[in-house]
Amino acid sequence: MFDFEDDLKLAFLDEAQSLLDETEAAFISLDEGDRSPELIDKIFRLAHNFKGSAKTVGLVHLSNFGHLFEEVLTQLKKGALTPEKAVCTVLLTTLDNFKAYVAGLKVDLTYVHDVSEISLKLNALKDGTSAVAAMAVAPPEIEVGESRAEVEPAELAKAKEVANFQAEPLIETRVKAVEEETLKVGRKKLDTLLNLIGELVVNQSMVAGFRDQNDLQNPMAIQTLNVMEKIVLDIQGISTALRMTPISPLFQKLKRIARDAGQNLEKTIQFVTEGEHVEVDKIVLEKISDPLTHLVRNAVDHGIETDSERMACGKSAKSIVTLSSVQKEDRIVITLSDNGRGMNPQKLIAKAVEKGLIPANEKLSDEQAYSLIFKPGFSTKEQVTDMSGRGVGMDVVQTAISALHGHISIATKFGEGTQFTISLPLSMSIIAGMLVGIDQKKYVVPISQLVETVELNHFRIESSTGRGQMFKLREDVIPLYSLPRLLHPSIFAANEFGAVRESSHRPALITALNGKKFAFEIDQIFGQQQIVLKKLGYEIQELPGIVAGAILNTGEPGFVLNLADFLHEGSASEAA
Amino acid sequence: MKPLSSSQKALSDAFASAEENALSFIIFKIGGEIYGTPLLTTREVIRHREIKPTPYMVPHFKGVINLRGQIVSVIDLRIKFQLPCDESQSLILIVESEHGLLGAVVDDLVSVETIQQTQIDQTASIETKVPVEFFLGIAKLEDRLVNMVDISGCLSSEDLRVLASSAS
Repeated sequence: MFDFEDDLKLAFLDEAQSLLDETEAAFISLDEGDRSPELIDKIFRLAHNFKGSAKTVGLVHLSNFGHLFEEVLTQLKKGALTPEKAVCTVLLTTLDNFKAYVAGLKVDLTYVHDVSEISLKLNALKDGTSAVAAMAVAPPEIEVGESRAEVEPAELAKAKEVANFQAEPLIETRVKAVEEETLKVGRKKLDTLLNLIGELVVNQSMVAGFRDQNDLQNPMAIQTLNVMEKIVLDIQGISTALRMTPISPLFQKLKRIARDAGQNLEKTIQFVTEGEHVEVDKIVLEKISDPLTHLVRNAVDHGIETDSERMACGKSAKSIVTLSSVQKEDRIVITLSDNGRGMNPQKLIAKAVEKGLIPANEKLSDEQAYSLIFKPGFSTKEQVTDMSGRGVGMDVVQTAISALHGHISIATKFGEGTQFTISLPLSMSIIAGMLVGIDQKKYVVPISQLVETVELNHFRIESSTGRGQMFKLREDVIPLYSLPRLLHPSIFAANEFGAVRESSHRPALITALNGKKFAFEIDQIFGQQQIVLKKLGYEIQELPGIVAGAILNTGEPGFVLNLADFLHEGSASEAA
Repeated sequence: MKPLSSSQKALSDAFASAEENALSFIIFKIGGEIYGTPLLTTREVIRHREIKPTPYMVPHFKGVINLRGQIVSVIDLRIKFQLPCDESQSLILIVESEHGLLGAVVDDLVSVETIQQTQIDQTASIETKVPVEFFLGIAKLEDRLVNMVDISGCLSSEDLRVLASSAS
């Protein structure tokens, strides 16, 4: 139970969050060299609003801290203070303190953040002491980052079970620059609603089935059903959009990370973002944050040369890192590219051999060599830096992305730069799936995992001892696995060599992992379907190769497979 | 005296907080025998529907069903207790466990009975097919003895381990 005053404070904290985000974006523009009076006015206004609101709701200590901040900004506005790099760093650090303060207050309304050290810095700036002197009393930046991590643990936010969904009406002609009214809705409520809508869709399609088989007599009933069908389709469309939120806050966070990392390493970096307006499922946004952070840090740390190295090889000292997103049908494609040093395939192969990840005589194409960085235990930089070498490798990034039914690919040219391309489904609740029959049961394979489907009868299948079956598809030799055997080993245990096969067709799915293709034999292909993903019961959450449940459009439950799970080391010989 | 299992302890706790030390039990039939389980943890009973078989699992794990948009695992107690199976007219009992919902195939419902704690012998050492981890006790009703079981405990961690090893 909150009393009225607490309600006011909580409302302020929500507002504060967006004020701070906006201010951070403005500071980064300032840091990048924008000196327009409009920008400085905007920053001043934001800080002023923040201070004023804090005071109104009775958060005196926070308001006093805000006042000091405003005074520094006044110097900036008057031109008494120039926003050089060091000044911007102090201002951004101040923002971190504000954020930590707000996060702390969200948990406990009586929280008081320790602002003594940052206040010293701000006072120095206010009094016109040089920024360098201000830095001298500054604690190392990392400490600030850490204290911040302490007060905003993700679990706390989760425990509240309230996600900040932006419930926007689905109007295509959105008036730009006018903020839409938003509502906060509990995640549980929303999930229940989505669940029920999913059921509605399934039941609707079952009734439509009766109509299609002429099992409905009354013409009025048929007409009403047709109208209902349209309404249900609209409801389904809106329901998926409810969970969608723009990717811009994440892009802004990454921009800040790139800026800080570049400054620590004394690299001059221009960080460009494109396509921040693309909307993705809130869950996708949450889960992609860490992998992208890792990639951005990697790009700045390993991908980009030092300024002097760049000049030595005739490049401009300032490097460019571009983060962009575009929507392609039901997927979002995020690319992160840099014009840094690129990768040398020969060096990658040598490293992989040295680490024992591949045999010394293995012949790899350049593309396959680049994919080596996704192997567990691979890291090309000898020295682990505190920026990106935290024991988290690219394999973790890849695992996180495939858990989201996405994939990551790499393009690089030695000396010119590297580009990572990540493709993800926009929504985690509905995916495009291929419905296949395996041992007379229906399974779903996400379309995102498939390269193509083939008819095995058109190929010569070779068996080789110890390496299972394989065949040649165009220029590639493709290992062949049998999904009926992998999923139902007991049926085949007694009858190892003569699988029962009723149909003359031998369809197979082709998937690609780390640049290599693999084929999975199945019994039947039913076709593509939009699949509503469902959580499985606790008893069967860990089944190998099965990542989720699904309700098929006939209403029956099914399982969604992750083909990559069957490709673990050593399983190749057992498979076919 | 044997120590009580965790399911038995939970039942004792439920009795302790119940009025007049009495709880309702749902009594059902499987393979011609009579069993009971607390009504408190029973969510609903549905007519038998197609159960989707699940790869890798132990035989008494029948598969999954679509319960109004939720995928629910279903076990078959008759297979677990080695009782005869009659597929023709069975029901599925949906119970709540700490991990969510779980379904159990049963042949028929008999009744709902209010039973005093004193009517249940938790330490009975009668020869029973019911494995110890989900055996709650023997209830002495007027005209018969009923095996009380904890359905959500029927899929023991041992079963799940068997599954894990067969899958890998």
